Amino acid sequence: MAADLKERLGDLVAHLETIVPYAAALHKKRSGTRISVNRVQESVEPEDPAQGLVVTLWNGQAFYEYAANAWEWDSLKTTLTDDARAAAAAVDKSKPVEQIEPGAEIRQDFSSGFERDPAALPLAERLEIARERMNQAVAADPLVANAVSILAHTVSEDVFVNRAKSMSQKILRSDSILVVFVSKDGLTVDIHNGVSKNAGLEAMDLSKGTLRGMVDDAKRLLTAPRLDPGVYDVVTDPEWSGIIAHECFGHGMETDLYVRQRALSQKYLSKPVAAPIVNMFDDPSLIGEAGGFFFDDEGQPAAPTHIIKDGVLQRGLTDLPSAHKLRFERSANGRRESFARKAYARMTNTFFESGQSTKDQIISSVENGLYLRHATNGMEDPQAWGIQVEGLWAERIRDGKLTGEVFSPVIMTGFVPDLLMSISMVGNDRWISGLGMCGKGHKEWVKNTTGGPHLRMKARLA
Amino acid sequence: MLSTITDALRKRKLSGWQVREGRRTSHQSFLALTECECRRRVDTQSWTVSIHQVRAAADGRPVLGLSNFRITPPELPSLDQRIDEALFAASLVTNQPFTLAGPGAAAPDVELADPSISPKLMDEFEERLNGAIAREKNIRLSAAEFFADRLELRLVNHLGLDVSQIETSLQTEFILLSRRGGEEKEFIDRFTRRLSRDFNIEEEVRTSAEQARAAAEAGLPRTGKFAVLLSDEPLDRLFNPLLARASARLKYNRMVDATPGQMIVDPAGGDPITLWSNPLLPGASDSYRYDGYGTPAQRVCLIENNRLVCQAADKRYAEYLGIPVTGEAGNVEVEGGKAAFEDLRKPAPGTILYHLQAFSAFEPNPITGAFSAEIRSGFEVSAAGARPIKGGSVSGVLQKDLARARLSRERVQRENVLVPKGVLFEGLTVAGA
Repeated sequence: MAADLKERLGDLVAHLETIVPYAAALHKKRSGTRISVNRVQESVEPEDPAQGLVVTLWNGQAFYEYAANAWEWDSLKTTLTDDARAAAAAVDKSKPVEQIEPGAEIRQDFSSGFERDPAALPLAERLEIARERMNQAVAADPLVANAVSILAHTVSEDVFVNRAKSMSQKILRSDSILVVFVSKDGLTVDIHNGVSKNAGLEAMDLSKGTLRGMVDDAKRLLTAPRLDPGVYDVVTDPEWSGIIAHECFGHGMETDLYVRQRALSQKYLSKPVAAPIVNMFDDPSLIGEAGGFFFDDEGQPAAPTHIIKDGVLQRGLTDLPSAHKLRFERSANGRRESFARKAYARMTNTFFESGQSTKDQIISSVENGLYLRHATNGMEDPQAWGIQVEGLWAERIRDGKLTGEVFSPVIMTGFVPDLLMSISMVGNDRWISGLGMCGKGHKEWVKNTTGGPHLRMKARLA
Repeated sequence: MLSTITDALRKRKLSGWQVREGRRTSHQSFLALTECECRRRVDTQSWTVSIHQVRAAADGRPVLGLSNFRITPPELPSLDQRIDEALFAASLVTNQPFTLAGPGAAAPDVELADPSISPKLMDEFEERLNGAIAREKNIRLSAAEFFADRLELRLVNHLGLDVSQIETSLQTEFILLSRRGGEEKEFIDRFTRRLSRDFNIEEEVRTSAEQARAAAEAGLPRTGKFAVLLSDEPLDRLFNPLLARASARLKYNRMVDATPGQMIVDPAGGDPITLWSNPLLPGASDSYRYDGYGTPAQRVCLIENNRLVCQAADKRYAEYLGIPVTGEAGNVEVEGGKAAFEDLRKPAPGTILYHLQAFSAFEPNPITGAFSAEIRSGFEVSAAGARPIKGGSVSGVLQKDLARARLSRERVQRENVLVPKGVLFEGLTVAGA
């Protein structure tokens, strides 16, 4: 199918470029199966199919797009010919007309690897795995009111064509998620854990130790008081570190915000923004991680971007319009929620690089502070460099030891450079979580990952 | 094409089925500064098919095999295969049976669609936005997005139910910048309405410009326990944990354990909370004529004077819990209190009050009611006047803190709520300087 589609789209693009300076086409298809079970409900359903085509036209000054999930090729050509003529007619003759370069020639098909094919395991057996996990969670403690066990496999198939590129990619992602609900005296708390990787069944393991830890942590949260607000010496676990990376200099480095003059980071390029021991990347070429791919939704091949190098801000994450406008070198960050939505500059796999210290060295170095775990979400403020990270767990560290005294929930806020400049130790571990989704503002949800090592820093908490 | 699907389903021996047809047209416009960056047009069509197959479990009790799938036009040639797959999936899962509804009472005539919506609106919206911004001092546009969608829905099932509705949606997000000295600060405004007459760009620009100018002068709040008045954007999600306590779906799934008759908020001097699910509000985003099972919309009181009186239950969860069908939860409506909004904004003598209008993200945990959020826009109000603030955070637990909260008597209708214009909390934790 991909070969036929590429040929048809190639013909269409060539035709449209007789009318406008640049055209491209992207076909996206997603399929898969999602199993979800809890104590009282079960479902085995196909992943919501998001199959459709988006055709991009550039008239030398602006982009025009048509997207649909149903079309006849002849009528599509007629529709797009009309659209291209209208776009060409919309050119403001008092302003310059600019060219979009299609990039280096690539004609290739890509496919992600996996060790164990989910399709080789009968659906009934996968359902039993999900049931067993749920039952283990429910049986783990009388306070467990319910547990939701999710196993999902999603195959994403993309075809991108412009006059220099004709590419396809096929990526298998597997998700294994467990949510535990613990109730006592009318109060219910929930806690989640899991794995999401571009991989097969090999990524689905969730050990019994992890389950026991989740239940124990959830029980602790039932009685955990809130923290007195203040500035604390904190150690963040890799999950929490990852959300800081994402919110600090992930969103703030998306260069479509530069075009809109609402990212303070533009003024700090090539300047120190973090302690010299801090390095941060966005890397879609980590194909095994859930934010990985071979090319983005605008046909740019995946490659790592070193965002912060030894504490110095390096470069941003681009989509095609912003790279063109700013004359920046492209990075593979043009991503869409689906064919029906616009591409924006978006993160992929975003993480702090590992350092030299062990987790034990970091915790034992803290005289009086807090260990932050179970991060749940965050929010960016690229223009003012404010940060918000929320989580469920702040455990007191006293004289270099975890005390078991837990506060919940907890929120971290602050000014991004203050926070990153305060990083005094970087762990030698690194773990990347693929469980999250990222919005642009409050919409445009795409899959990405966040991660990093344990970090020690000063932070305002409440 | 709907008949192709229903014909295929009728040929199978199914306990029941339902098909929801959706056809959407979307026009989208994107401005970077004041220049057009992109114009988009999107046409989509899909059918969501639910298959019900009741079978006997090993112990003889009836259990429901249920499977849903969504199919798009290019996949229709493989419809039979998709039904086979759904039937197989349904044969694997075990759920408590419930019945679908046949034709019943006519749905109320709720205003959901604006017939005037057309592609030309994009030009009109851009002109109105630029015109409104031009009237503001020390304000310029960073970016704007407009979406105008028209959605046609039709729901049919094996019992002969056949209902339809047309919805429209107008959505914008725009960012205003204001300069003070060498620095610019922003304010993000986003809102969604169904009807053009409610899509008041000029008023939104006026209020957002005030907030952008205030942000340019803003400092951190103090740290401690303070009276906090919430208004504007935070109201959109504020009452969600109360709605969750009234959810039959969450109750059945053992994620909340409230039962009718139980106090949801223990009164401690605050205004009592009375809350409705109201899908009948004209032009509101969570309004509908009929819900996902074809139940006609109705306004239902869920919480009266702090006490849960009814659970919001669609057909499925009403049968599971043996309670009346109310239809899916619609817009949140909350009764106003006694005090005027302006009186709530006055701090007690010798104290300060924080009036907060926007957060980075404000999503109270629906299960626990706990909330924490970074402050994007607000004022520290004291006898000396109002000082703009930005940064820091506010935290609390909704059910506990509502016990002493006071509600303004004036109410506002926003995207999907009709609620008091202001909610004054006696003492929330503020973390700032």
